[in-house]
Amino acid sequence: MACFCRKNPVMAEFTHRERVLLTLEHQEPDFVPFDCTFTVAPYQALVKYLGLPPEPLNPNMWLEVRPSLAVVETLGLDTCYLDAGSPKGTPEFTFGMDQYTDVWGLNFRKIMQSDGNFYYELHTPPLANATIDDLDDYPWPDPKDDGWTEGLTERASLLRKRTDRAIFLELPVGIFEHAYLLRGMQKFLIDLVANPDFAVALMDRLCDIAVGVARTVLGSVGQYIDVLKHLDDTGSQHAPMISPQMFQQMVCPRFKRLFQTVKEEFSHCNPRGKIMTHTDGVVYPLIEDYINVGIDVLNPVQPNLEGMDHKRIKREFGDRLAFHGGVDIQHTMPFGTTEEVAAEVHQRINDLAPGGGYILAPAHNLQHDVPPANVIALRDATREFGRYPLKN
Amino acid sequence: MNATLKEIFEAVLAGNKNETEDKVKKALDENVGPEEILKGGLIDAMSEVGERFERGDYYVPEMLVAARSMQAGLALLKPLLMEANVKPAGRVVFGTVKGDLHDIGKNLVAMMLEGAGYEIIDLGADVSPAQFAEAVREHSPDIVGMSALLTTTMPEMKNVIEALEDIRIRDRVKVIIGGAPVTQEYATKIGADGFAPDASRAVTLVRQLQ
Repeated sequence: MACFCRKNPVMAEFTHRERVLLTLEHQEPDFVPFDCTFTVAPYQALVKYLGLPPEPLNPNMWLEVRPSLAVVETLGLDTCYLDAGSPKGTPEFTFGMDQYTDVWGLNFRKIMQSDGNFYYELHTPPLANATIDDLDDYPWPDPKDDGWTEGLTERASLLRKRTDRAIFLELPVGIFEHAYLLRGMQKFLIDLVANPDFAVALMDRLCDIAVGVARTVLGSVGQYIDVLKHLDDTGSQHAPMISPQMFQQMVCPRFKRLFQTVKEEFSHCNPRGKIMTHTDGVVYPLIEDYINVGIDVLNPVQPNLEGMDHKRIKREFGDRLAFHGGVDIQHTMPFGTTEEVAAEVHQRINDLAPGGGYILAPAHNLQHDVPPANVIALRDATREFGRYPLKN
Repeated sequence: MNATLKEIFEAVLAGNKNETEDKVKKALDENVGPEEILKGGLIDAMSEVGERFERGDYYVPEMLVAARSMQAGLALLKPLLMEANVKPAGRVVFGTVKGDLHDIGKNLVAMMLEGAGYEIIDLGADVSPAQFAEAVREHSPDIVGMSALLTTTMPEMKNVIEALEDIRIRDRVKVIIGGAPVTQEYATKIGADGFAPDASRAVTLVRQLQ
């Protein structure tokens, strides 16, 4: 099994970090960088498949696990992830517990699937019946709480010393997404039309927190991280959740305020730091606005959607926007053969990687229906087809 | 068309719940029959909503407020429709499958079908095959609609179809499916009668299947 590390001059001319940074700066490195995110079951299967010893795992409530450096290095990922802490007093989450209420007051319940697997799903939204005045009294997490950065500088510094992978950090605050989680999706979408003052007040409140947490966290570790990942779903399978006009008028001002803060913080300590935003689904009509509010990287450019044609997106936006993701997890990764995975990778690289500006990854965390052989096929195909200059 | 019916139509389209209720009351005062108000006011408006959604002029928020207005108008008409023995266009049982709580897509389909004159029985989310089968036995619907968001819960749809076969009522209903990872190919594979990619096209599908 090939190991893609800096010691092998034939396989690698750049460090993993340089590979990622160059591509995000719209230059062609030696290879298309490779990233992969996991839920717990396929990760455990992969660890076994790679012949590595079992690992103690601490999945979050989305069942996501952070690959250990052993897996990062054996699999050949070009990235690793760092997570901020949480305000003091945040209830502790233990994987497998029946229900959990997080620092936002969001209550998650364990929902069993027939085959014994489970997922944590949101239960009663805490702001379902709130008025604007109630927003003042809600126990919001404090962006200045020491808990967000407890031990963070030490962990970031240690990670930076131990690996030359690019470091991604997730900002634990969304604006649009947290608004609909707190309010209930149906209710919040109705608010946007029928109760816009409330919708905007809620998003402003979340933006204040997001800006504060971004300052706190980047003030602590901005010099160590390469990409700040912001999560805020605005797309669905067939169209954006909201009209482009509504996105522009009601959401973009808040996004712009947050991303300007991130850029400002990066400018003090890390001029090469990049902002990546995550949104599933069809967001083509919103991409120009996303660029205008300051994002550098769009994730995951979910494939096989009408309206998310990769060639078109690359052609129209590729000079101003980099892409991360692109590999189908609704069909290819769970149900495809290894040959189909390779063909998928080849297609995505052809469409998104010319000129740099692309990190290949599955379009979301791999679920328990993805076999480890397909993860290896994903890695192998990225190296086979992702060497620059690309052959068509 | 009666001018008040046009006002109801516009109020639903604009998602104006209060206006819809006022104009429905006005139409009733003008002795417009409840069935005519339902068809010319509410159903026609929701049909236009569906078309605008398919064209990309309306998005989920606009569809939700229109549906909410339609439901408010329908609530005023329901007792009168029952009195006049007006039958719904059909009866549909809905649910999101076991292990899955995502329901906004299913809710939109239910609203659009209600807006097309169908009677809706919504079982909610995390619905087991046995619960679906029991609902079919109890309510004798024309259609059963199932939704799933995750590739890992999608296989439940096959389990529901098997549960209907096990108690020998599969042939009494048409089964339609939808949800982000669901495709026509999957529907054919598991023996469903149809697949719709969105709420508006679900109405078209249901009409075709009846």
